[in-house]
Amino acid sequence: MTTNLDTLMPCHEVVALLWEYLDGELDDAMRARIREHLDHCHHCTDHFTFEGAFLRTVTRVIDEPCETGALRQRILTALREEGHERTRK
Amino acid sequence: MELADSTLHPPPDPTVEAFERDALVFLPNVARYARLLTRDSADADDLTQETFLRAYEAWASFRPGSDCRKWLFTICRNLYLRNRQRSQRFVAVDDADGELKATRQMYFHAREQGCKDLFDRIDLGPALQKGLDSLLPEYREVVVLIDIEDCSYAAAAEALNVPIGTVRSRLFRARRLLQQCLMEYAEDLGFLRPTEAQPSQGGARQ
Repeated sequence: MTTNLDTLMPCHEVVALLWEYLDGELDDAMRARIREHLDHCHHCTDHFTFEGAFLRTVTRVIDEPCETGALRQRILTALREEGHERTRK
Repeated sequence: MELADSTLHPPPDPTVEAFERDALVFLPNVARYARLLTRDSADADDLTQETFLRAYEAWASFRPGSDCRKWLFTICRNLYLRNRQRSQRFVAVDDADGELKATRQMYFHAREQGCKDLFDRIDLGPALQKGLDSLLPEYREVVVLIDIEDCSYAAAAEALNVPIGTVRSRLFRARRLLQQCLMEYAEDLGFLRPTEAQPSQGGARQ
């Protein structure tokens, strides 16, 4: 199937939806239109690739394991005390 | 959304064991959110514990099957705001389109210098941590909810009790500020030539 280049979204409209596209916030029809543009525009493809790498960096760095074993015990103890208080009232 | 309608939904199992199974399972998520809000591990642990105690108090009102993690984020944030008395604080008026333009300028700057793969090429962890620390909590929390906890814009708006447009503009600004930190770090290391003037106000602690 060939694409009519005249019907492609212009670059500025595609870039305006950059983050929504990368965040999966767009509906299927709009995603398809943007993908179609990216298939034909290496400038926008490079830009989206660049920002996608940025988002992966953010996720990788912030998404550090959060050790919560001791905190879990502390909360459970407090919850059980709370539950005990409730049954006494 | 999460509150129970007693005529339609039976209340959740009130035992600590049920709460542990259905709510405390989100402890790592809430603890991480609290740490990123407070930037202090002791304060974060206190905030996390307070969040779960408050949730347990209201557990009978929680509707089983609704989004417990989002509800916990809402409680955590409200407690944080109340503790810090920050609910009335000033936040810069955001301009999502302007943020996108500024972000695009940074991309052009990297591209012109053949650094399109900048984010894959150098370890930007230290710069990103510093950048996160420099963000106001209002901006940091949208990054945490959307980029780490994988919330939709709508879910983040509900958890934060702000319009979805506010989530969008704060997210775009936060990302622009973080990206600016990374670019400056790359400049310091000699991977990029320094830019001329870049936007820097709003959303970052001065």
